[in-house]
Amino acid sequence: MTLKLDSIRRRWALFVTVALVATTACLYAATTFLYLDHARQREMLAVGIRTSGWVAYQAQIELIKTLAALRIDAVDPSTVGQEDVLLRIEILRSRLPILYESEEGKLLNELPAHVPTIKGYEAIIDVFLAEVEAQPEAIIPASRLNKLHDELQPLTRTLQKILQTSVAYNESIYKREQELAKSPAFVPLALMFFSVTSLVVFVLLQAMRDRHRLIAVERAQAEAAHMQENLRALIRAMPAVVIVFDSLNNVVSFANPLAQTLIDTAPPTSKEWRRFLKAAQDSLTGDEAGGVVVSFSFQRSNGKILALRGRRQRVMWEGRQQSMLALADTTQVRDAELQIMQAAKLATLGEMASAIAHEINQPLTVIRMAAANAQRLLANGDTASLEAKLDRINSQIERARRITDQVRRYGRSTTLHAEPFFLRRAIDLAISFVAEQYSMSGIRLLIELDLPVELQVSGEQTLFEQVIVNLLINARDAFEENRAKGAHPVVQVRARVEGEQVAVSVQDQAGGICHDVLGTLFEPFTTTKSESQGTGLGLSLSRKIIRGMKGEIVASNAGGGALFLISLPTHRREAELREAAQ
Amino acid sequence: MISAARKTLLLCDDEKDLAEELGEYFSETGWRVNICNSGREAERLLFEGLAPECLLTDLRLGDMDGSRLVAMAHALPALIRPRLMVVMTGNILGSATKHTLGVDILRLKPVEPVMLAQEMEDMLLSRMTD
Ligand SMILES: Nc1ncnc2c1ncn2[C@@H]1O[C@H](COP(=O)(O)OP(=O)(O)O)[C@@H](O)[C@H]1O
Ligand SMILES: [Mg+2]
Repeated sequence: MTLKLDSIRRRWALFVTVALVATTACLYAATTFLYLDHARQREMLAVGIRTSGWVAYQAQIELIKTLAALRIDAVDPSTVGQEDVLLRIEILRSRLPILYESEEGKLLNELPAHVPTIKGYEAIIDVFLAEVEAQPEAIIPASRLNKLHDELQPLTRTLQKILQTSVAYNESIYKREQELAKSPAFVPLALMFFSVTSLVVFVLLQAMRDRHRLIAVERAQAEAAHMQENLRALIRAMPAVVIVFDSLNNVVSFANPLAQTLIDTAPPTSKEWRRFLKAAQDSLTGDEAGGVVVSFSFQRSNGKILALRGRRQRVMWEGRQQSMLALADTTQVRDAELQIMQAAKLATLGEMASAIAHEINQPLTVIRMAAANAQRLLANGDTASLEAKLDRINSQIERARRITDQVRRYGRSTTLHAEPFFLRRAIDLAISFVAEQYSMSGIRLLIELDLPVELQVSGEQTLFEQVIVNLLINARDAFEENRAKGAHPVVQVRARVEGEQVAVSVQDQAGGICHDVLGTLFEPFTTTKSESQGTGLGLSLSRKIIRGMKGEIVASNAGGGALFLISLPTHRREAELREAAQ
Repeated sequence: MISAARKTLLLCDDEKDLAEELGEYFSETGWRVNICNSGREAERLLFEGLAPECLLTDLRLGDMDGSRLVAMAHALPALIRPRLMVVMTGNILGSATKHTLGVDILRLKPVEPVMLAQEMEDMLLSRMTD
């Protein structure tokens, strides 16, 4: 609503501005035009007054002078008088054409009507002058002079008329000038006033708008400052680790109090911080919306291992492009997770206790029998054969030790320390762990490991073994449950390399996964087993472990049983991914 | 004492080392011993009429269950059926006893050889005097 009002107001203001500017421009143009017009009129007036009557008047004077000279010479003809007459006549003759040929003469309104008359008089004068020229020595008779006088006499009236029109014209011009003088440029003044007013209004409006804008900008600035202050306070108070650093030189430019207490209170350039940033950078994984995911552990100088998880983002900080790490301290979560994983491993060990006992009994039995035979040999004095017996005993002890080692290794406390390990060997170990169980349950294991021995993946080896053991035990459980329903006692473990990935699958033919749990199979506490038999944690932990190795595990029903498929990046691929994320 | 000719034993264990040591022990205590490393081999020997006085088998054989071998032995004609059946096992499965297995002696590994041999001899003797 306010938005709409705002836009209307803005449009209106724009309209007013444009209108004002247009009006001002028009007023300026009008004023200029008026001024120019006024100046031209004045100029015209001056020219008219000065010249238009003048030519008629001069011709009149010349005519009167000529007529007088003619009369005088006719009364008393003399050579001097005659010369004077000729001079006058010639001057008059030269004056007449000026009447209609000059610019001034053309200004007279009624002149064109008199031109033929004037030309007629010119012809009379020309005839006279021609006669005089024909007899230059002769004195012009008085009769001839009188005749010319009478002939020219009517020209006086004509010139009089012309003079009168010219005077009338001058008068009208004079009147106009008077009027102009009386109306002291009222219109230009008014226009001037309007244009100045509109200019002032325009400037005022502009100033008002600028003031409004300035206030808005100031308010926004204040708000931004508050916001920034609030954000800083928030970052300081946040129960998360926030660090801003320059990724070019790994120098920390900001660390909130939690980060300082958790990592180091030493100056930001200290080794401890550098080590921390390096650990964080090394753990970068793929991009996600909202930054690059970071998840890593960091050993403090006091030995404590922290687990941290969060994101890295690019930010503008103190005018520079920098990186921001926002991390949650997941140490406790990790510890709890480790405890659960450890508990799960121990539970598996417990479950396999009888199988382990059986496996250890096997070498023990051989040892006992060999020892009994050795005693007899000794009694018979047959010491030559004794050595073979002792060798056999030793090799069986070695066999027992391998079993106890495996149990120990499997049961040792869990860490999340990822290290490259040989995948094939890990799968072999996991299988050998359940082999006894399987033979006790009469299940055949089909193993097809199409893997180079030296192929490595990255993670915690015993945890990965735990995943395979989980899957194999689940398959055994499924078989035990459906044994009566004709389940096939065969479990296949396969592995092969697919480019940069390794695929490991465990497939049984024991009837498949119950549809009710298929959707939530990998969530904690999903189980179809009785409380004494299943915890529903096996698969959820398995997925956690596999995802920790940047892999994925999926389940489906296929070929009359369950198929679990694990895909993992090879160690090299995993290292590449990590590098790429940086 | 029973004559050596009567003390015949078919010994079956998929663990070769163990089968050898057991065989050696029983031979030295006056038994005539036949050793085999698989259930199937033992089955064949019994069917072919080896007719040992005693059958000693592990409960878990690579290719079949020891209890199946015992059951098979029970089904043999009386003439070639072993008089005494003994089972050794790494661990007892659930409720299995010598009665459910249908054997005369059930021993947990690691077996004590002197006692076992004595017991077997005693039992065989009592059967033969029956
Ligand atoms: N191979 C399998 N065949 C059939 N069902 C399976 C198989 N593996 C797992 N499941 C089902 O998934 C459930 C969850 O397995 P898991 O997370 O290992 O917990 P638990 O084994 O303790 O029940 C099992 O209870 C079972 O119903
Ligand atoms: Mg399970």
